[in-house]
Amino acid sequence: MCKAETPLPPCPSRTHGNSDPTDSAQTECHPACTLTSQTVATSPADRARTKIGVGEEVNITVAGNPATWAITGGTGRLSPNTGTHSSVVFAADDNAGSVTVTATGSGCSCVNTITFTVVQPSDWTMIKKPGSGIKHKNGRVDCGWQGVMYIHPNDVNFYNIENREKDSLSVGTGVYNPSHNGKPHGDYPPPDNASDWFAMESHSEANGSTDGSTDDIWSGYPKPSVVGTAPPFVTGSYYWDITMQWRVVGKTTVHDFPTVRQEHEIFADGKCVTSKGGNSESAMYNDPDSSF
Amino acid sequence: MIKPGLFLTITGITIVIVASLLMGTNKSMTENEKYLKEAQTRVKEFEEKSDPERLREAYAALENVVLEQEYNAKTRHQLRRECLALWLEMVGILDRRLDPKFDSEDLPENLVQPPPTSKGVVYPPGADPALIDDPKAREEYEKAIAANNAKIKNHRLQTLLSRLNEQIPPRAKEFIENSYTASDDDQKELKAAIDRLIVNPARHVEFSKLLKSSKP
Repeated sequence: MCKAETPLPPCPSRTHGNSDPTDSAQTECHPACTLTSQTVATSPADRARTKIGVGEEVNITVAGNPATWAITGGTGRLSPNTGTHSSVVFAADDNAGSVTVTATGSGCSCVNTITFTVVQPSDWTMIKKPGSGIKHKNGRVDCGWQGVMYIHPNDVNFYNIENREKDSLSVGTGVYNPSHNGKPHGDYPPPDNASDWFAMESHSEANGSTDGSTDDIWSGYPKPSVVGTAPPFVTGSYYWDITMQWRVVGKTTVHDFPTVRQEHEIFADGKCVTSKGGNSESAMYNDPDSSF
Repeated sequence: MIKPGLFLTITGITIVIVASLLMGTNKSMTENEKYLKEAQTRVKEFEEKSDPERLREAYAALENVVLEQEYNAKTRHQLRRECLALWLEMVGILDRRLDPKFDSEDLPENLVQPPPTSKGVVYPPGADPALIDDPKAREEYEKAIAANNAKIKNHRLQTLLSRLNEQIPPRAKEFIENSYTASDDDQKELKAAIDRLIVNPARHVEFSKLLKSSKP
């Protein structure tokens, strides 16, 4: 699946000005110090876009004389941030909002600006891993699928964030109570009670940014003697309200995504439904054995 | 015959100009040294804690060094030598820490599936190992969790190092191309640094291509 998507972006390119011996000789004024920008990420396809994700990097180039560069509105990082250069790399930090970068051409008073709109991740959804199956055992009311998480919005690339899951406790009712009630989803260790951080792996305009990791979303099952072996089965459900978190790589501030529910439900007719992040899959108790 | 008033004025202006030049030189030296030292510190921190962000900070600090601001030739050459050494050291670190067998598409699982309990209950992936009553099955489950966690950590490290590998070597080459002439002295210094700091054979070949023969 990831092969079909755009992999990690190439490195930021930069025309170095500070060590170019011709720089100091370029004293002639070029009044047209226009700025152009190109995102480091090759997906989305529009690399001249000025709407970017938190942590995204953009190459900015000035026409004419090399310039001194500064962030004159908003926050972020310029690299290099000293000397005069024909191009620099701007990296957004984890704040949403407008960021203005100003270039002042050397040898004259030519000044130009470029403004970026930086957006934070808004939410995430899951899709069933392409090519994967439904996990189920014949005669049991169980079902599961493999999901891949995608972060939105899709019109920017969040390759420079990482995400993790903060632990939560299940809420079980009916046949799932008490066996599957009050159980941690990941049993993550203190002090954060959260998973390890996952780096982003790819982006697609159709789905968004993803770490590409596989999430096995499977119901498990209660004791067969409790749930029954034929209809009508004893019904029940359990869920976790899952909090995923994100941060820009290298930053310490951790942000919560809106909560997303992972839920498993057994129906009297032997149907099992497993849902997470906008995707649901099901199986009937008498379906043949199948696996992810 | 210069009038005393004019003499004092000229002397005053001269003092101001010289003082300004000296202050400017000291300021730039301090800034360059500050960036170099910061880069060295970040490299050391990476070596100690393996956080790739420290390497990114190191190269960001190093590319802020402006050799042209060093007016003293001896100081400038010393600074250039130290910058070169650090750029190549970072490339060498990447060569040592990047796993050539790393497969970016071999992605870790979020959670590990536990085994069934002896009573026939099966918990979903990520369940507390304490719920597994069979000691042997529990131990194997705990080992599988530890292995998956190690895979998650390694995948993150290798992914971030791979990105740095797309950023640091091109900048190191750019530094060399912008800072070293074809003169015998420059090339001798450059070759010695490459030979000393770039151990990986393929990378050594790659960087040796930057060596130039002296101009006729």
